Amino acid sequence: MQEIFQNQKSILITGTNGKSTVAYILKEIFLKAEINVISNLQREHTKEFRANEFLEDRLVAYKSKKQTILILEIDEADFQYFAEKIQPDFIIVTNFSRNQMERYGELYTLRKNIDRGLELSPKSKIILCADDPLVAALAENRKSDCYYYGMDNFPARDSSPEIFRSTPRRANLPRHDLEDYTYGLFYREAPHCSFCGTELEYQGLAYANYGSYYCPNCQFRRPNLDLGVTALERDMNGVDYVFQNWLADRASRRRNHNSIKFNFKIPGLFNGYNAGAATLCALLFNLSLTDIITTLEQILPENGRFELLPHLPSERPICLVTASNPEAVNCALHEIMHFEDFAGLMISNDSIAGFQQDVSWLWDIFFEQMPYAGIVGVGGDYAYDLALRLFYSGVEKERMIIEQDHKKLQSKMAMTIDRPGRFYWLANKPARYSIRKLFVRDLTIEEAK
Amino acid sequence: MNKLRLAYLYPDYLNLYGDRGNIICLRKRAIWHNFDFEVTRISIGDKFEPYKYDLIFMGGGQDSDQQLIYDDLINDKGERLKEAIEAGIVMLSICGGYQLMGHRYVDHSGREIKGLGILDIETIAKPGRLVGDLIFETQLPIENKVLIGFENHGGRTYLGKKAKPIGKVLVGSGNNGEDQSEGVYYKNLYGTYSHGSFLPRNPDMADYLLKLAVERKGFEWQEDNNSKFNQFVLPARKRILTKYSKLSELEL
Repeated sequence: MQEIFQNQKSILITGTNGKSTVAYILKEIFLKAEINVISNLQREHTKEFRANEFLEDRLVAYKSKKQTILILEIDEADFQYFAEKIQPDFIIVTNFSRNQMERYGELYTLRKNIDRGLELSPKSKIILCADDPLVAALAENRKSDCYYYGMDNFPARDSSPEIFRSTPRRANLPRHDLEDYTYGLFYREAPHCSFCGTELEYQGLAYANYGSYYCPNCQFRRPNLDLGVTALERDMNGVDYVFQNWLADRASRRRNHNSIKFNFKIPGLFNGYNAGAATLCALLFNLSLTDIITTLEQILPENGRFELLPHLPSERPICLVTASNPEAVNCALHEIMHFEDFAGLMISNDSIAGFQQDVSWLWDIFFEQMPYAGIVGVGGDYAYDLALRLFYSGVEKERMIIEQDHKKLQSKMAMTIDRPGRFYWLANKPARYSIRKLFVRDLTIEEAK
Repeated sequence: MNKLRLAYLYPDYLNLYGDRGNIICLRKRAIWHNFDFEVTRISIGDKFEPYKYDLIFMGGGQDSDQQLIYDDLINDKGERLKEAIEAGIVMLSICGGYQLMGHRYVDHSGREIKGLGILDIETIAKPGRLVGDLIFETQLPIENKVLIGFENHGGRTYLGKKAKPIGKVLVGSGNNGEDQSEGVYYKNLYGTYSHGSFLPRNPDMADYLLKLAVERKGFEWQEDNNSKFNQFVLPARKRILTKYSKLSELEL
């Protein structure tokens, strides 16, 4: 496979969440720059299928003789295989979170797989999320060039939604009462230093374990950023960001004119990270920040990324949000419930054969702090597991609409809630696919991914 | 109002598989049965005085996180925990927490890690994780004898002559995938591989643990079969049990 890919640039994207969003944004950026792109957005679950698919696409690319960039979203389980075979120019690692633990058993096992994959592709330039300590620690002892993206500022504690007010220092917290647990502290990934095991301290926290951390015992700390993301105003229509290109001043760390403010139409702070990853990668391809931002401004929410599902003018608008792990659900919940147009919440989880069978993670979602006292609709294969979880978090039976069938759930919600505004529908990946199949006509394989 | 106190051991290290749900469940059900319920987190370096508590919980984590708490557990808190178990304190330990209650754990490299030796078990790490629904039948004095969890472990736990299993495996692997046993109990210490979370899916087991703690403290436990406490449990259990045709006759 290596010789097939050796004459063109290639990017591998891996991590537990955000891979397809980063791939999608990168693809848009390169296409806008009139660079031919081959991507594996039609993902299937076998190596063979993917390899064959790429081969066929590659032949098409040869015929066109255009400059081509391969953008490959690689499942964590397959990363070693593809990193070794392709020897990509760039590898992006987004994050590690408790997602599909039934497949990987442990987060650290997953991290070891990625670490080994990076070793097997020693010449690749590596792009890492600086704010995730598990990801940033991958740079240790790495001979290849590493580049970092992350938050340049963190929301002020007294003026931001509750989710952002968490303090990571255990000593500052009440010592008893479960409800007093500050969000994310005890259930966030990797609270301890990857090298010495000491509890990390944070100077600022975006959400979960994403922030500006340092180990009080050893030298490990968040690396300097090459692409800084500053989140400003945010609402249901998107987020105002400032993206700062630090690459130009890597040595001096002087802030210069190379920063741009823009509106990104996909809400969710985690999508700010995804846009940051794609932007840093594009900068390393020598595209200009101005051109990249111009493309980012034009990207619309789609494929379950705060996507407004098609509807008639007379129908209630529904915004579909994919969230498949506790961090993503917590973050999404607290963002959407501060949106002015929030009218109702639906949560659907489905399984698909072979994985997403374990619902343990539902108990790590912090529903106890959900700032919402209205009706909640729950649906999908795990409707009653969700209902049980919500019941124990304090949502009474009378406040729940339980309907495994997504369409019926939506109808019942529409009949029950009068308040104007959008329904927000949180779905894990299999449920996202089922819901989009119902609501989005002519769903292509690519969109369904 | 009478109060129950629970010590939650190493919550910042052993928390990977939703075991927090057990604390949520115990707390809610204690309150529903008219008890105050206080949870105290106890981690590395924290003072641990078991006599202050009525229940203890220790969950499962990643191997590396278990290594981080190991010295503190074995060299600091272990002896006091042992004494408390002998004195009859009620404890639930899951997965990694369960393994550390045994004599020893042998990891993949053959390295032997000493356990607390409270339970007559030993655990040996073997290739391939045991992952999936875990359904087992218990002889404990609870109404619904079918317990449901989700297992995800690399270690195989083997029982010594004194070890009493909590139940017999109907679906899944349980302790070791060989002898159909699942979990072990000794006095009021219960160890199991059931994540899921375990207690919300098995409210009879949750009430059983609470009742043991209440009676040990000299309070009165009032049975209350109020169905409002068990909302959604039956359909959530049914979803799992109906996946397995051989279980179709079992009580949900």
